[in-house]
Parts: sequence; structure tokens; C-alpha cells
Amino acid sequence: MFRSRSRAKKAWKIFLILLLTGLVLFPLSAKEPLNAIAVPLTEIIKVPLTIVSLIEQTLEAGGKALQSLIDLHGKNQVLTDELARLKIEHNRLEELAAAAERYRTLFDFQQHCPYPTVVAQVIGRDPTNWHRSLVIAKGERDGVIAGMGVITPLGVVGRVLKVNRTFSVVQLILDRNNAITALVQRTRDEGIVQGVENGRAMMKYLPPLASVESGDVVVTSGLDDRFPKGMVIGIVNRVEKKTATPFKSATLTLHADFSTLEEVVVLLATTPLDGRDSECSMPHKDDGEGGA
Amino acid sequence: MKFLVYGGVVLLIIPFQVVVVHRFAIEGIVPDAVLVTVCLVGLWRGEFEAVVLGLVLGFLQDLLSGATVYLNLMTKPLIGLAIGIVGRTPLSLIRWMIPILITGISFVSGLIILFLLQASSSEMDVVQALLSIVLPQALYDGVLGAIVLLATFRLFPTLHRRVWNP
Repeated sequence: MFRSRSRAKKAWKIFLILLLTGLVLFPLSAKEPLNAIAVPLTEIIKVPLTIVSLIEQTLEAGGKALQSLIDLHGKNQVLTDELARLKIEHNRLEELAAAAERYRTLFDFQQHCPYPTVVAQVIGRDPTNWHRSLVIAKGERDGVIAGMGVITPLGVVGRVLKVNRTFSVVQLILDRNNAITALVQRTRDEGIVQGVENGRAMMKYLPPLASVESGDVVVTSGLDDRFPKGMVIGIVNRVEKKTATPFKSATLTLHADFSTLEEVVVLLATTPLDGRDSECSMPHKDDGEGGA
Repeated sequence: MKFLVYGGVVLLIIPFQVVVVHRFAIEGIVPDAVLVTVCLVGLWRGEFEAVVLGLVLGFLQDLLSGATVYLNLMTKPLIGLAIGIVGRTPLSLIRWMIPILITGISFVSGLIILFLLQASSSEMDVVQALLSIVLPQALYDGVLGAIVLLATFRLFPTLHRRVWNP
């Protein structure tokens, strides 16, 4: 019985070998019947293959997109931080550039001004609504004393009212208690420039026959010892004559914007330094490289 | 401890009034943070502390202003005294009355300063000063007082309970 079973196995083996050899060695035409089965089978198998392939491709693309999104998020974070840093840096540099420009203007002004001066930073403004003043970061230590004139390249600012060791209070030309002797540049009519209630300045006590007009430039007269003669105060805005007084008065438009002043120049003396012209004004733009 | 707190208040309020408050100016009018501080201290801590604080703050305010007379040194302790007395009345228990009280006190204080200045300078236009300085500042002080009150009660709710539920 065992012998017959081993013979059958041997017969099957020989049959399989012959079949495989036959399939390989058979001519192509002989494979036609197999192909007839294979074609529909491949068509059927093609559907899940395509689906799986599509899923695989989609997953791969999704993975890549996710990865790139993660990368982008990281890069975006880095760039956002960088942008914020650069914005701060840009603001800082803009502020520095503006300060440098202001200091350059003040330096040029100082160079062209024949009087000894000191540049002071504005650190505060009047804590009440009743007076118009500035607090500057220069005091007795820097040679500032009460009564000194304070100017900017644009014109007269006021006078030093109170002095401490390291800071001073400057009474603005707009203050009601401040008065500066002035004259109209064109007509040479003299008067007194004084602040009025609503934060404006007026030139009072102009002669009744003065031919002052709107647009005339008002400068310091040099009669008091705070300001040298010829420093610009402002421009005549409107001339008026009240019936109660024999004098004319004129409202002025001042050159300097006192609400945004950041630096001022304190006149330490009103006598020119040796060998220098007594004119204290801003150099013209066409003076050359350093003249702006 | 109390001295330290008041010292801190002085060191905070004066630079705030001189340097920062001008950024909030409306038509050139700035609120008086010193007045509001003295008022609130008067309401919460009584007239004695308000008067002393008013003396110190008023003196410093005059030192840093273009004033030639010590107007704030005179008016700020008076404000502290007045508001301290009002603070003992049931009026101060009504929360929304506080900004109105501050407005009133600021207005009266402005009037005192106006007449003192008018006495020293005959050229002063009283009506214009009243309309362009005294009145707007009183209103602004009331608004600032209301803001400070709200902020204080948000930050320190226990203070709120202590003040209005003693």
C-alpha cells in the first residue's frame, strides 16, 4: 500500500514538471487559451490596483503636503518673528535717523550761531493748563541761569524761568507772563510780543501809525539782554486796533511748533564770540555739504 | 509702609503729569492727575493724608510749572481737605457721584486759580479762561477720575469692598 502511494506522488511530480516545462516552452500561439482567461482577470484586478495606487499616491501627496505644511508653519513662525524683530529695529533706526537729523540741524545751527549756546533736551511740559512752559534737561551744572533766552533753528522759544542743578523750566513765548521786545523787520516798528489765553502770541503796543501788514516778519529787537537783535519770532497774521487803546496789536503765527519740540538751544550769552558775525541764523541749503 | 506707598505715588504721579499726560491733551487741555489723586486719597483715606499729599504734590507741580506763584501749593491741600470732609458724608457712598464730585472740586479749584491770576494780571480775559481752561479741565478731570476709579476697582476688588462696604 505504501509503495502504491509513493508511486502516485512520483507520478504527480513528473506531471507538474512536464506541465511547467510545457508552459514555458510552448509556442506563443499555444498560450492563446491562457490569455483568454488572463485578460478579463487583469481587467478585474486592474480596478483595485488603480484604487490602491490612487490611495497610495494621495496618501503620499498628503504626507508630503503635511510635511511641507509643517515646514511652512515653522518657516512662517521664524519669518514672523524675524519680521517683528525687523519692524522694531526699523522703528528704532527711524527714530535714530530722525534724532540724528535733528541733532545735525542743531549742530549746524550752533556752528553758525556766534553766541555761546548749549543744546538741551525737552523732558517735560507744564503740569498745569494755566502756564506754557517746558522742562529741559540742562541746569546750573551746564551754565544755565534764570533769564537766559531759549531758541531753536526756527526761532525764539522763550526764556529760562527756574533753574535747578540738572534741569530748568523754560517759560514759552506763548505764556501770558512772558514778554519779549520785538520789531517788525520791514517797517522797524517796535512792540512787545506776549502770550494770550488760547495759546497764541500777540505783538502789542505797536505805534498807531505803524504800517504793519499780514505776512510781515517779527524779530527780536535786542533791547533786552536775553536775545540778540534779529532773531525770528514769527509772522504777522492779523493786525487789529482796539478802540480802548491807542496802540495797534497783531496776532502772530510762530514758526516753531511748541507741542512737538524735542530739543532747544539755550543762549548762554548775547555777546558774539571773538571774530564772528553777530547774525545767528540757520545756514542755507546751498551752503555746501555740511551747510544743510 | 504708608510713607513708602505715598513716596511711590509722588514719584509716579509727578513724572506722569509732566511727561506723559500731554499725550492725552484735547485742544491743548490736559487733565490734572495730581488733583484726581488728591481727591481719591481724600475720599479713601481722609482729609489729613490728602492735605499732606496735596502739599507735597502741589509744591512739586509748582516747581515744574511756569508759575511764578505757588498756586498749586495753596489749592491742592484745600482740595484734599474739602474732599476729605465730603468723603465722610453719605454722598461718597454713591459710586457714580465720585467723578461728579471730582468735576465739581476741579471747577472750584480752577475758579480760585483764575481769580488769583486775574488779581495779579488785569489783562487776563476771565470769560475766555473760564470757557477754554476751567470748564474743559473740570470735565476732563471728572472723566479721568471715573477711569481711575474703574481701573482701581478692577485691579483691587478688596479695596472696593472696603470703601463701599465698611
